[in-house]
Amino acid sequence: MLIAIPSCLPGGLDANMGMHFGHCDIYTLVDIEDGAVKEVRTLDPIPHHHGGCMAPVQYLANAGVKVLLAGGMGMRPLMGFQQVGVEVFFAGMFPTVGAAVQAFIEGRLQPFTLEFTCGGGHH
Amino acid sequence: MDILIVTPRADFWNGLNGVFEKRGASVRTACAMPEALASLKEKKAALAVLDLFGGEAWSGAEHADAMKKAVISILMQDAMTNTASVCGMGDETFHDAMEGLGMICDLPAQPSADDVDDLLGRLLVILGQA
Repeated sequence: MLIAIPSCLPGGLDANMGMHFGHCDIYTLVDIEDGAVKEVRTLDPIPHHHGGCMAPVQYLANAGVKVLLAGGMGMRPLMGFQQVGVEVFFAGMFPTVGAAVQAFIEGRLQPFTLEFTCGGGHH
Repeated sequence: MDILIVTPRADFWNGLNGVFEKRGASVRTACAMPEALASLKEKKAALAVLDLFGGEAWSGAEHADAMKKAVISILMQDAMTNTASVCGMGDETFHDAMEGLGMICDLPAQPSADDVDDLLGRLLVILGQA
């Protein structure tokens, strides 16, 4: 299962979480198999135009991502992820990507519901 | 690209047909949200222009609530549909009131040909067709 985590540079398990998926420095992609981290790599973000928040949604879905761990997101991209079959979990309380991934593996993350959505035309 | 305009004043928008044609856009209209949602269900649109108040002056909270409700109803059906409002609410209000909805912009209550052309230009960038 491929999961994506918006991250600060340089990405990877030791990187800080990027607190907004649409404006992060880089994505960390983690392949989970049998409850353990199998592979870690990074993925560059794509340009984000005002009102164009579906582009990163489609981008990650096309990369094979099935789960996103996020700290912040607007309502539209959240609905978009749900509609393209990517599960989103709230991981805004974790300082690092690795901590969020470990919490996900241990089943400690809540689904990212509308109450977690943040706003801003920047989202 | 297909564009749906939700408006009680189709005649006003007919006067802007040339702008859409110049950008290669095909336009259909719906007079209210129920018809708009049914139309979008039948055929997707690249953009829904929400002219819900037919050029009325921006009322503040009442209009904002109605607009948010309309946008959310579209997103729940298909989040890929881009949206723009026609309210003249101003940039700061637009940012605060419509946050998180991923709208392209708000047009003046009486949009000009230039306003519409600017919106279509932004849409083309988002669609990767600019």
